[in-house]
Amino acid sequence: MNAAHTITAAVLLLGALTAPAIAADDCPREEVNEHVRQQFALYGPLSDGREYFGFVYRLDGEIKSAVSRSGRCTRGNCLTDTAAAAALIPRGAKILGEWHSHPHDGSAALSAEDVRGAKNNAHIRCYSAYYSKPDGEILSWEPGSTSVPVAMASRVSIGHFELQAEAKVLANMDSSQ
Amino acid sequence: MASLLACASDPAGLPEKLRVAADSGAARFGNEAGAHRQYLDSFRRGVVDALIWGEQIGESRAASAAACERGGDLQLRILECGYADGVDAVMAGTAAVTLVDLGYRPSTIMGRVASAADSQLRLVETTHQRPWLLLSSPVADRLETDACYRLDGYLAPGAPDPLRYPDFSSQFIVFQSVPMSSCNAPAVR
Repeated sequence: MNAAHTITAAVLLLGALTAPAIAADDCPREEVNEHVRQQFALYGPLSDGREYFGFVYRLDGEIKSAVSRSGRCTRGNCLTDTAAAAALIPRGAKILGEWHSHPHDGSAALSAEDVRGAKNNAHIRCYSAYYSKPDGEILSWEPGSTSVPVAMASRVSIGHFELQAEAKVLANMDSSQ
Repeated sequence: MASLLACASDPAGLPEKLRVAADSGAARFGNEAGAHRQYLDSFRRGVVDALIWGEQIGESRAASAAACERGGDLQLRILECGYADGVDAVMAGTAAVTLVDLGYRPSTIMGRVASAADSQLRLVETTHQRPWLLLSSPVADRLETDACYRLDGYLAPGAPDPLRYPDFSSQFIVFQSVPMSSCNAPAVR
């Protein structure tokens, strides 16, 4: 295990240990869902030939994401850099989950790597896992799932982002200039 | 732990000839260590992609540059400005840089191109070794699954995240391929 990945594990463990005690049924699911929808509204439309990955955390009462991006990739052959995202999580933050976008030419299904990655963090209390399909649908899945079929069966849709949102925003800005 | 954190503070591993451009670009976003690290990491990704894709990186660069200029979210801007600046640093040609400067190792491997189970990742299976992750590249995208090749390219420094990609050796970037009739030849490094 190299240094960056040791850090990933250490940061996540630190987040789990330093978090204020939160009973499982007190987990801020809806707040996290809303934050994740906002993240996908930003990063989802840009996920054309690239993926974004974020760890969700809470610090000083605010829910945020530490985000990394992949390099250029085609037909979903993308490598997610979770270590780069983990390195951005501030000390003392309570980690609440992860999200990642599938590129627009990628798969609608979870991959073995997606399921394995979330499973490794499923011990963190209140941990949630999310991804977006190429069509913009946003889904959560049970991070403790041990296989792709089980994870796929656990999915719940939490919303949708508009694929062309970025283009529309940019077009509006151009026309107003 | 202190040494690990020190290592993490310089994830980019950029050669000196790119460092000035990267540091001045990062300075646009202030002195906060996390933002600086995020910018440099993305800058490096842009450099690597420009070296892999050459002129074909234009569309990706343009999308990043637009988001950099007009994005309303600071983190998104840092990621995309870093990426676009990294691409520009290579494409401008002012600093001749190669993948070797970034820690990649020229390598030749012989094996079968395959798809990972339950995944869209592509890989190269070789004799006696764990599969190599085959990164997207103009040459990689033309390789046929289940066919055997001699592949010339570069191995990435370090292994991919062992928690997420435990079954793979390093990442491989292919620049040249020669079809082979079989995959019995041992891997050459």
